[in-house]
Order: sequence, then C-alpha cells, then structure tokens
Amino acid sequence: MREKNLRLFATLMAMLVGVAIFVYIEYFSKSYLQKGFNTLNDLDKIQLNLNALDGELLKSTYFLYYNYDRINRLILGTESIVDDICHSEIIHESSFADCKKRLSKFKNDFEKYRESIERFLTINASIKNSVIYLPRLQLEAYSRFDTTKADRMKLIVSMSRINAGIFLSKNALDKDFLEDISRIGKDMGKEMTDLEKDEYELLRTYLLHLNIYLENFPIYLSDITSLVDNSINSEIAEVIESFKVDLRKKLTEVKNTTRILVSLYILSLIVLVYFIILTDRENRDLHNIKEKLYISLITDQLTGLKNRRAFAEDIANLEHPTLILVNIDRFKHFNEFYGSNIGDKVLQEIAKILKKSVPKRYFVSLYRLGGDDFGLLYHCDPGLQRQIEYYNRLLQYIVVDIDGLNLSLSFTLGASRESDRLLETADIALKYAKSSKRERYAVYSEALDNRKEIEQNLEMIRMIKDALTQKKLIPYYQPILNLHTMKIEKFESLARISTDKSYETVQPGKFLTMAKEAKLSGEITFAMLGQTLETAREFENYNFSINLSTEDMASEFDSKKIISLLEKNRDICDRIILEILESEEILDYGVISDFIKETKSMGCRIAIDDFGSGYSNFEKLLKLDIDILKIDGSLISRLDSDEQAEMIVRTIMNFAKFAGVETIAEYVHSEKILEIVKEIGIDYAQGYIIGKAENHPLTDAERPR
Amino acid sequence: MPIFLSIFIYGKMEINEPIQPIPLKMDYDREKALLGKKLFFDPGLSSDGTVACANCHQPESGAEPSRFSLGIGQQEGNANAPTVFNSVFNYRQFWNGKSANLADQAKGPMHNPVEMNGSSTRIVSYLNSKKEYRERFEKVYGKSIDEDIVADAIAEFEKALITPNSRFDRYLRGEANLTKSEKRGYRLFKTLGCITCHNGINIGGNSYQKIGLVHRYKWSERSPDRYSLTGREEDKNVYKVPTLRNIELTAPYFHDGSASTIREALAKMAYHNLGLKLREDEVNALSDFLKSLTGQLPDILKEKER
Repeated sequence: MREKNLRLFATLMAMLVGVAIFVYIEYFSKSYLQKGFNTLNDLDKIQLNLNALDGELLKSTYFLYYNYDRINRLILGTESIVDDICHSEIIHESSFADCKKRLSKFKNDFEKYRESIERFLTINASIKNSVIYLPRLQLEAYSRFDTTKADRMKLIVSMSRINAGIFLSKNALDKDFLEDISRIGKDMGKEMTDLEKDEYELLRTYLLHLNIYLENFPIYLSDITSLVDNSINSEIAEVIESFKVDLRKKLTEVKNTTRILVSLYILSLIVLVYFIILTDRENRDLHNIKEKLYISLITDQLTGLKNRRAFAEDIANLEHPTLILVNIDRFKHFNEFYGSNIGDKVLQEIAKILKKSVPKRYFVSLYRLGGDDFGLLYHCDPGLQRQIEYYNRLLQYIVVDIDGLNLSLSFTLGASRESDRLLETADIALKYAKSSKRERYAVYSEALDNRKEIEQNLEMIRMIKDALTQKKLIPYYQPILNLHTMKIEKFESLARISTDKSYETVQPGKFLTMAKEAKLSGEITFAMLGQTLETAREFENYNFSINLSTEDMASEFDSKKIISLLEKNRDICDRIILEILESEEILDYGVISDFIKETKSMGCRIAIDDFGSGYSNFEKLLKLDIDILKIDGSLISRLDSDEQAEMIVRTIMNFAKFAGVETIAEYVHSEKILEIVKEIGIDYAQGYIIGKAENHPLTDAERPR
Repeated sequence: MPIFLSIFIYGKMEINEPIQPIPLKMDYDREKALLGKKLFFDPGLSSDGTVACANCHQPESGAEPSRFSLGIGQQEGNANAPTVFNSVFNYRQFWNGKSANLADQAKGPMHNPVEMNGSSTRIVSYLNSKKEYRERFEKVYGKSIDEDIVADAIAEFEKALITPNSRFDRYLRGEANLTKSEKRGYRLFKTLGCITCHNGINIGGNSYQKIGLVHRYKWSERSPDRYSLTGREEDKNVYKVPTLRNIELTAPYFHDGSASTIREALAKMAYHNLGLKLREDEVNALSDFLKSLTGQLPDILKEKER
C-alpha cells in the first residue's frame, strides 16, 4: 500500500514538474527574455533621446530661429518611456532592485535636468531677443542720429564694437569679450547727457538690451555647458549597465531553476521507470504463482496425472473427444487387504504404465478421474475399437512389484464417443462390462443405457407413492366366466392408479417389481384388499380374487395386517380368493404355508397365478392344498396355433381334475380360444372376450353379450 | 506618443522652419471624445450646476471674451482662460505650466474653489445619478465612473480640438500664398525676435518666458506665473508663452486679459519685451500676419450633440 502511494506520488510529481517546466519556460523564461529586451530597448531609446537632446540644445543656441517643440518632444518622449519602465513588472522584481534604485535616481535627476532646460530656454530666448534686436537698434541709430556730430558717430561706432563683441562671444560661447563690451556700454551711458529725446530713448533701449545680454550671458554660458556636459548621460549608461547585470543574473537564475526542474523531472521519470519495471516483475512472479497454482489445481497429487477438473476443462475445447476409462478390478480389495499405502503405490505404478502406453501418433491426454479410474482422452476419434482392443491386450495380465509384493492386476475398460456426456457414458459402458461376466471391455451405445428405464421406474415409484397417500390406488374388476353355467361368478381385482385425466393401467409385472423394490407391495395389497372387501360386501353373489406377493406373506408386519383385515371380514371370506404367483419360494418357506393355512381356515381360497409359466411342481402344490389353478396366459393365447401348448394345458387340466382343483384360463382373447378352452374342460375363463377390467364389477345383466 | 509621431512627420517636412503647420488629423478615440464633449458642456460638474468647462472655453475660440474667468457665484478668477484649441500641442498646461498633460489640467478647474468648485466624490455621484452617463462610461471604459476616466474623456475630447488649414499653414505647405502685408508681417515677426519665443506648432506654448524683459510689467501676488510654483525671484512674470493660433478670435490678450485688441497687445509686447514703439505700418503688417493664423473650427464641435 505504501509502495502504491509512492508510485502515485512519483507519477503526480512527474506530471507536476512537467507542467511546472512548461509553464516556467513558457511564461517566465520567455517573458523574462521578452520583457528584458523590451526594457533594454526602452533604456537605449532614452540614451538616444538624451544624445539627441544635447544636439538640439546646441542647435537652439546656434540657430537664431529655432523650434522649441523639438526639445520638448524629446523631453516628453523620455518622460513617457521612463514612466513605462517604472510601471513595468520586471523592474519591480527583487532581482532588479539595484537597477530600480538607479532608475529612480535617474528619474529625479532627469526632472532637475528638464527644469534646467526649461530655464535655459527662457534665458536663451532673452539673449536671442536682444542679440536679434541690438543690430537693428544700431541701424535705427544711423537713421535717427545726426551722423554729422562726432559724439553721435562715436556712439554708433561703440554700438558696432559692442555688436561685434556680442557676435563673437555668442558664437564662440566665450565670456572673455564681455568685459570689453561692458566697459564700452558704461562709456556710452556717460555720453547720454545732451541727446535728443528719441536719440536718448533709442540709446536707453540699446543699453537695456545690452544689459540683458550682459546679465544673462554668463548664466546662459554656464547653463549650456552644464546641460551638454551633464552627468545624466553617464547616469542612464549606468542604469543600462546595471539592468544588463541584473538581467543576466536573473536569466542565470531562471536557467538554474530550469536545470533543477529538468533534473527533478528526469529523476521522477527514473523513479517511474523503476516502478514500472518493479511492477512488471511482480506481475510476472504473480503470473508464475498463478500458473503453478493452476497446474496443482488440475493435477492429481498422487500420480502426477491431470485430474478430473483438467478433464472437464479439456473436453470443453474438443469437438470429437473419445474417452477410454480404465478401471482396476477389485481395487477396493487391495486397499482393504494391503492397506491404502500399497493401494496408492499400485495407482502410481499403473499411472506409469499407462503413461508409457500412450500412442505417440494421437493426441492423447491421460487423467486420473476417480479412485481407481484412469482416463485416456483422444482429442479425436482414433479408431476406437482398435484402441480399446490394444489396451485390453496390454492390460490383460499386469504384475506389479510393490515393496516385494508381486500383485497381479486385471482391468475393465469402458469407452465412449458421446461428446456431450463423455465420462458418464464411458462409465455406463464400464459398468456394463463389469456386470457382464464375459466381456472385459465395452464401448458405449444407447442399448447399454438403462437411464430411461431408471427414470421410468423412479417415475412409477413416485406415482405409486402418490397414489397410496392420495388414495388414488383403486381396484378394477375383470369378470371371470363359469364355462359350465356361462355365467359370471368371479371378479379379479386389479390395481389401477387414477390420474387427473383418466385411469391408467399399471402393468402387473413391472408394477410388482417396482412395488417390491420400493417396499411398497404390502401397502398396495392392504389398500386393494380393503377396497375389494367393501365391493365384495356390496356384490354378495360374486367371488373376488386378489393378488398377493411373496413378500406380503413373508413379511411379518404385512401378513399380520392382512390377516387382521380378513378377520374383520370373516363373514365374507368364503368369497375371497387369494392369488399367489407360482414360484420356488412359496413352496419352500414355512412362513408362507402358515399364512395360507391361516387364511384358508378363515374360509379364503387360494389360487396359483400364471400356472405353467415357469417351474411347476405338482407335488408341492398338492401339499399346499391349493383350490384354484390359473393357467398361464402365454399358454392359453397359443392354444389355437401351438399343439405343444394344448398338450401342456390338457396335462394341467388332467392334473387339476385329479387333484380336485378348479381351473381358470387367462388371456382368453378370442371366440376360438374360448371354444377350445371349453372343449378342454377348463372351469372358468378370463380375458378380453369375456370382459375388460372396469372400475366396478360388471354383472351379467350389465355385460354386453 | 502618437501626438509626437504626427508632429514628427510634419516636423521633418519643414525642418528649417521654426513654425510648423497643424496636422490635418489627430488620432483620438471617438467614443471617448464624444463622451468628453458631453462632459465639457455639462454645468452639472460644478458645485452649483452653473459652470461648465465651456463657460470659459467657448466653442467659437476655445477661450473667453471677458478678462478673467467667472466661476461659481460669479466669482472672478486671477487669469484669462487660455484657449483650449490646439492645447494638445502645448508642452505644459496652464499659464504657469503646472499640469503636464490635458487630463491633469481638466481636474484643475473642476476643483478650483472659484472656478467649478467640485469635489471628485460630488462629480462622480452627480454622473452616477445620470443613466446616460452610467451607460456610456460602462460602454466606453468598461468600468464604473471615477474622476480619472472623467478627466481622460475630457482630455480625449480636447485632443480633437485642433484648427488646421489656416492660411499661414497652407502657405507653409505651399498650398496658398500670403498677401504682401502678411509676408512682411511674418518677416517682421522674425526680425523683431518674436520668433524666439513664439515658435513651434502652436507658435508658443513650448517654453516659459518673461513678460517685461526690457520694461518691467506690473506684477502682483495673484499673478498666475512660474513664481507661484517655484518661488524663485527670476520666475516672477514668467509664463508659458501663449499660442498665437486663432489670435484674432481669442481677445482679450495676456494672462490678465489687459489687451483687448491685437494692436494693443502688439504695442504692449513691443514696449515691454523690445523696449520699442512699433510704427503704424509695422503694426498693420504684424496684425495681418497674425490674422492669417486663424484655422478651421474643429470638426467635432460641428457635430450634433450626442
């Protein structure tokens, strides 16, 4: 879990650092370069402006007619650029603190510089004003003064000298001439005494202008010198230099940060790759473990063969699988006799032998499918008959040496090609081979499959049980005709099960087998007897016969129940006939003869059913004191075609007459048989021609003739 | 910056000429200028709702016909209002140049107790009470009204107040000729030395100079001169040189409005700064020249109120 967090952390780290690098390079490095160069550019422009200002200032002194806009434009432009830089982001960064300090000093100094320029322009204008005007006044003097007078001419000459001095001093920017000019001016002032009024005014104006020039020129001179020689130029150069240094520092910083970020990024990538490799290795280990687990899951631990689970998985992928089951005969015996330790070793040996036996040219897998069942699975039909014969021969006589014991083994084989229930059908074949005494192998075919029968049997047992609990087991009565009187005298009570739809006949043979198998025959007999007794009570002119099984009589519980029921109906017992199947047992067991004696003592009569069908022992029959013989239907039904049958019947008849026993012919199904039976002299007849079993006794009156 | 560029282009054309013609077009933001125009004419900006910028800067001349500006309650100021026309070309604003730009200038009269006497909160709340102002400021500036954008709008309007195509400008561009008298006037303008102070695009407005250089000009504590800012003795009676553009329309003249005609102004300037009495023919020529400086009225003033 901790490792997983670490992995997540490394991934996030790599992503974050990646984004950070991108942002940093995109927004910081680029913008630093951009902003840095922009600012540097602006600073250069300021420097250019300042140089241009120097030039313009000098021009403004040289040209009498000058446009101050040119100077103002440079000042305003510089102010605006300085403002822009001061408001830019980059200059407020801590890295540019030094530059910022220098810039703000520059800004202050530039303001002072600007004020000096403004003042200079005022003085400049004053000086120019006078410089322009003084020559004009000199010209005026020529026209106004009386030039014939020497002192007037002297004044004009003084004006010329002054104007020449002004011209020189102004153009040379030299104040050395001022002294002379000043002296001449003072001398002129002394000679103003006897002038005409307009002469006086002109001279006064001249001297006023001269005075303006003399007063302002030194200031003008020092101003222009200091303006042109101003430290402002070197100051901006320092600002530029410090900005370059700061920018270089900042860019180095950016570069270093980028380096660190890139290294971090690479590091986190390395960590990521490490984790990817680690995860991959773990996955491989896990996969191996899983593989091993899976193999052990599908392997039989004892023999090392594949197990039943593997078998189920394997056949799912095969289209035409063929299976041969190999079973060790009497393996249980080895386990019990020698102990399971030896038994296990036997299994291991057999596994070895089978492994060696597998024919290489087929795709065959070998499995241990159960305790002593081995399976050979062919991925396609190999010619099953040949294969099974091959194995039968191979395994005919195997002797294995286990711990010095020479154990000889025999095998039974079952095979199948039924792909949808391969194991089950092979097992059926195997069971069949086992039960058959002669065959040591069998291949499954539908004929071997008693599955349907089993299902039917189960269904029947279920039905019988249901019928008993829901009282749906009811007697049907088949009439028995007296061949002497040609009247119905008796009825045989036959069990029927009523279903919702109709009444269904239950085949006597099967029914009986099932009932015996399910230990239900006692109950059935009891239920039938009860209802038949009631019917006998109702139909008092008729006799009623009912079937008993050997088990009924042999079972103490069932026989007592039957006897006590008969006891209760003792008054009509003389009309009750108990039909017993002829078999060896009934003649042997004393219990049964006791039962017969007891019932006979209550007035019941005893009939032997199906007489002549099997083993008939006349002697023993006589001992039992039988009243009636029911001659087997298979004999009767053949009377019209089989002379042998007729002979047997006649023999039985003779015996019966001799023994004083009544006879009843069963299965009389045609008029012809009926004639023959009559002719032979049998007392009674029973069969379809006389009447089918109905749910109540059909008397002569009701019977169709 | 665009101002300097446009000046620069013309400046290059007549590199040796100390006077430059007014550019035919100015770059300005029209929406802002129109909003500024509305503000310029709105007396609601003053404390008693009687004084608009336009009271003293009238649309015919950009200046005022009375000597001194009349503020709220008919109070008289200490100066004759300089023309607002072409003021964008001035290096600094006000007589003493106390404002570096138009926007800063615009705030001056709005706050001056004898002019409009408005506080910024009062002005802003007045403007906010008007739906039209709220909407237009929101549309033009994308933010709520404050004093800076009010001044900015007015300044933008003033940028548009230029008067190009005076006869003299067209003469400079070689598109027209001057009369003989006008030409003589211009030559006198140079030889007399007027040009040393009155030069550049605005023929003035680009330096501080002293009135009364030769013969002293009267001075009082109330004079709106450089001295009022710097306190330096030599700055007494030093003013930003006024523009001579449209001089014919902007009487009375000087910071104190003391000259009511051009001739009077010429005589005074000649006396105080040249120590000279101009002859009649010189005055005529100079006056003719000065009248050739009258340009076209700004287009934006001709537009209908918006």
